[in-house]
Amino acid sequence: MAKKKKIKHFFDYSLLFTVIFIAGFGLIVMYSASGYSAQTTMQDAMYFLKRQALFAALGIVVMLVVSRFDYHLCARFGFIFYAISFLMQVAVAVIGLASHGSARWLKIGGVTFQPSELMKVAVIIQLSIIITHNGYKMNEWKKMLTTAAWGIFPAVLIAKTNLSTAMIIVGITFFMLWISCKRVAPFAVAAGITMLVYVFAYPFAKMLQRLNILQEYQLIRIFAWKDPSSYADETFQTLQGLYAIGSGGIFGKGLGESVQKFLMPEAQNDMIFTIICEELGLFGAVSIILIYAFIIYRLYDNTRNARDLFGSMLTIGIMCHIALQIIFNIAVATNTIPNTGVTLPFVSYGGTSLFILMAEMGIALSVSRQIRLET
Amino acid sequence: MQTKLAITFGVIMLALIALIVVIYQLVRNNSEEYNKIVLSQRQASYSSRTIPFRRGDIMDRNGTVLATSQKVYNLIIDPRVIHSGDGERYVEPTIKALSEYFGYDEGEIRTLLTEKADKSYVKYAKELNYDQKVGFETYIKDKNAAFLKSGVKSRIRGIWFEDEYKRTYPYGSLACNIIGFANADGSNGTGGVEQYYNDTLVGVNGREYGYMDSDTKLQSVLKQPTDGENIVTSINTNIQVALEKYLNEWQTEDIGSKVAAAVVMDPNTGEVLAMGSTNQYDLNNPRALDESVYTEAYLMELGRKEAVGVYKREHPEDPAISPDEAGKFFSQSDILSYGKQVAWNQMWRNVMVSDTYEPGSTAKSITLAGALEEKAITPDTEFNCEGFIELSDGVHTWKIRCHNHDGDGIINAEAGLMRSCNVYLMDTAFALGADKFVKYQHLFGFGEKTGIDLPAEADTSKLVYAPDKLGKTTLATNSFGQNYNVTMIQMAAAYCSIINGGNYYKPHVVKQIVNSNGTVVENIKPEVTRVTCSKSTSEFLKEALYQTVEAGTGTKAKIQGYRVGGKTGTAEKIPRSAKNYLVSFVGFAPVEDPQLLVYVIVDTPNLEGEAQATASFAINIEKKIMNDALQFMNIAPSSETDPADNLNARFANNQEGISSDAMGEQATSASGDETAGEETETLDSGEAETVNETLPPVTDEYVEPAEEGDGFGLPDAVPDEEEDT
Repeated sequence: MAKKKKIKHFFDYSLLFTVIFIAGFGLIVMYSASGYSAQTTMQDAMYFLKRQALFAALGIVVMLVVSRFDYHLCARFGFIFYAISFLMQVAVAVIGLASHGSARWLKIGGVTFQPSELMKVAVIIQLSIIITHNGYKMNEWKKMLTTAAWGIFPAVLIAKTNLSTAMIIVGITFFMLWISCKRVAPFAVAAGITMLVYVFAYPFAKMLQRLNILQEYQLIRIFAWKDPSSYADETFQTLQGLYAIGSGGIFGKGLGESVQKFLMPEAQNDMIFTIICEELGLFGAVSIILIYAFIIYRLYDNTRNARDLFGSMLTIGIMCHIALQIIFNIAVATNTIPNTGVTLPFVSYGGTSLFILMAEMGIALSVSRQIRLET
Repeated sequence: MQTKLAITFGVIMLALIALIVVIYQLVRNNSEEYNKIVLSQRQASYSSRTIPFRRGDIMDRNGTVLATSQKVYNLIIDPRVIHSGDGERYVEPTIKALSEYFGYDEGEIRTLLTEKADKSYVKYAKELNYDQKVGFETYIKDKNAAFLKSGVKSRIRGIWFEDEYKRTYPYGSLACNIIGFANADGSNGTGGVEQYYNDTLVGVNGREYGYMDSDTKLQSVLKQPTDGENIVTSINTNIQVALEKYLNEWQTEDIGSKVAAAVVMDPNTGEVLAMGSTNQYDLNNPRALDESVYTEAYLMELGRKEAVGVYKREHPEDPAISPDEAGKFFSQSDILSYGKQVAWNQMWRNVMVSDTYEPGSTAKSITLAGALEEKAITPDTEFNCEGFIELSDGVHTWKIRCHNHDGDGIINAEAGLMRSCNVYLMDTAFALGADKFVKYQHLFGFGEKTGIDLPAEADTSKLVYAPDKLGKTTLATNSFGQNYNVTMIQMAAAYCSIINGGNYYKPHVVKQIVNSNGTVVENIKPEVTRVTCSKSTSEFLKEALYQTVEAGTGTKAKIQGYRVGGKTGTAEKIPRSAKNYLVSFVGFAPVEDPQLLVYVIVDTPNLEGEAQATASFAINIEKKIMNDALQFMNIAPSSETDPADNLNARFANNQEGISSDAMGEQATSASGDETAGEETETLDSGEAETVNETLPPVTDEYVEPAEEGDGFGLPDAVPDEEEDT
């Protein structure tokens, strides 16, 4: 009788600890970047730190709890979650219309949050469900397009108020479809078009301006991106960010020594990467990018070894989400792409964003838990 | 799928590597340049972010604002920023904006931009108001938005506004000696409350900065300015307006004098309700000199005199220079500026607090109070006035005369005061003795500082005699207010104590300090510093002073409907031979419960010799002020008042109540008529030609013209000759 193989369950501790590490690192940098504005606006230098730390702690607990659950539960509640997120998104759009602005926030039970953050997770789960369900049928055009619609449709809804999140949702959809089907050509074409738009963004934006499609503020961001010094008033943040990166040098001014954080509005938010560059220099920037790269690598590895397709797809979605957000954020900070409001995962200030990211990591860890190690 | 997954991972990694390359290039290519920009930005934000404090307001007792600070905005042009655009694309739009919105001269701005191209801070326009600032900012925003929309790269840039506070005095010269004025940045005051309470009025500048200290701890960052505290004075603006109006009437429409001044006090608290002199200046423009008085030649003359003093201070060893030689050592412009400084100080001088003079007969009440307290005399003590007292100090023989050369006869204390009999007072002082006389002088505040909360109070400690220096002759003249010096505020405060039952209140002009939120920080309570006399003495003197107005030298001070008390004063000035006089009157009402004390002096009326010595000049001013003040304070009359005195009737004709009117003229002409041909009071030794046979009553105190006589009236000396301290 063959000796029964003992099934050993894997748990991706390296991912867990890297995430905890980067969340802790994020708190330190966030405190340095936000202390000044917290002191001036809230009379408490620790204001943002305290809030963020609370969310980080909660997030870690939630991550550990979620990692204990079977990720297949996602399949059962995926659609309900998707529907709720979608309705909230509609609600935000309606409120936005009513208040003449581009509302992004929703307040429920005293907690303000962006439904678009939830939408990203909902799209990841929902796409994973459908792709798993379709299986090989994903190679059919019809199936592919209907699946894509699940991601594209909410993205269009969000684009009006929050172009960057819409782009991330589209990006996630793109990569999940690309991996799930055998076709190459349509994706290559789509990627090619994206590159063209990127290269010819300026004339393209001019055209859009004439067609009156994008919002004024979004257009100005594109113009300002190509020619920052002409739009010194409009690109104040971007320019200051570039000065911060440039003045940081190789090893930076030292933790807490940033000068630019006094000038930059909301340095603790989207532009926090520039403060990291200024304080820790190129060395620090590369280090943190390597840490992110390791997280992405761990997710990639888990994807390859996931027990089933559903687990793989979930992990792919999460990986793409985090990767896109990191790339977009750093690209904005370096003025490689127009200014969009994308946060740096685990580091930028923002309670709900951090909380949801942690929950996502919980799902990824849950997937990793079911990887079977053969010994 | 695995391949595609690998490709995805690869793409992500490539993107991250690409970003690292981008960052590397940013750091490599721009590190130095960006560092400079960052430092200069920090410098700029560090040095230019002083947030000015607001100097506290000064209000009258009813909250009327007498001095306030308004926020104004300076337009700052930053030529460096304006020239910073590629192809000078900020220059033209900015120039155009300035000329279009403010109507500034384009050419002028253009030259300024070329000449000061490397400057970052050019104050181009001052004291713009809030609407102008906000209007222009909106204009810039709109224009720039339009440029952006039309795709033009022109922008309006390099213009910003700097906050500043401008001190304004809504009433111009009103109460200038009490208020004083503040310098441009509101950090200092000259004269009055602005100077004395400067520490209260100033706040602390705020500052916006941020830096790490040596422990890399974040230092506090935005320091909000602390605004100065507001001051509520005891001034009653209505009374102050009336006071200045009547002084100016006297000065410009009547005989006029070298200077005339008046103080109105609340005898029960020591609060100054109004105070002013004919020395007035515009607080909004304190350095403007009246060119008809201060001609260039006069200024040069003043300047040369001052230059002598300056030379002496700078070269203590060298022999002194004469004013004519000043030109050799100082430049014309230096001398002129010295002259201006002297002129300003003359103009700003607070006569009521800083100037001293011999008080004359108003001091008799104090002599009597002392004698009554010490029981040297009783109200019934009688002395015989034969018209003079002859005194000898062994060298000189002085024959000190009474007003009435034939003598007032045998009179008691009340009559002595009513008739302002010098002989009675001299006898009283002899009975009291020098030691006790001096004690009471000090008790009533003569030779002491009153401690009033105004700057530059005269030091009179050397202007009264020490007991051992007070000989019989000087004791005699001191008894009726000659040969020692007082300030107006001393005399007013002393009288307050006499009529309020003997409590000497420290005179003060500030009632309350309120912080910028309106919360009371400090209430300045009336402070009794000592008791000068007993209730009974106070009662006796009140009655005697009332009789003085009813049937004595002060009858012109009567106001129908009120019981007014008071005392005249006619002091002969030093040098006696010049025959210059300072006449005064101190009045109070209502006698039964004194609420107001008005003290007026008229220094050297513009008349020749003894004609100056007419106390009714002062009485007339006092009466008008008292009449108005009684009504402003809503003090109920004890009987029917004269409708002609009613303020409301006058206000119906003239809301401001400033220009002259029927009432004013009537009162003014009265003073002219009644001087002649009544009872006389002679301080002077000159032989009076005519002495009226009928003794009582006396209705005024004035000096009959006299020829240069053989006798002496008063010794030509006070303890310290120097009057200005």
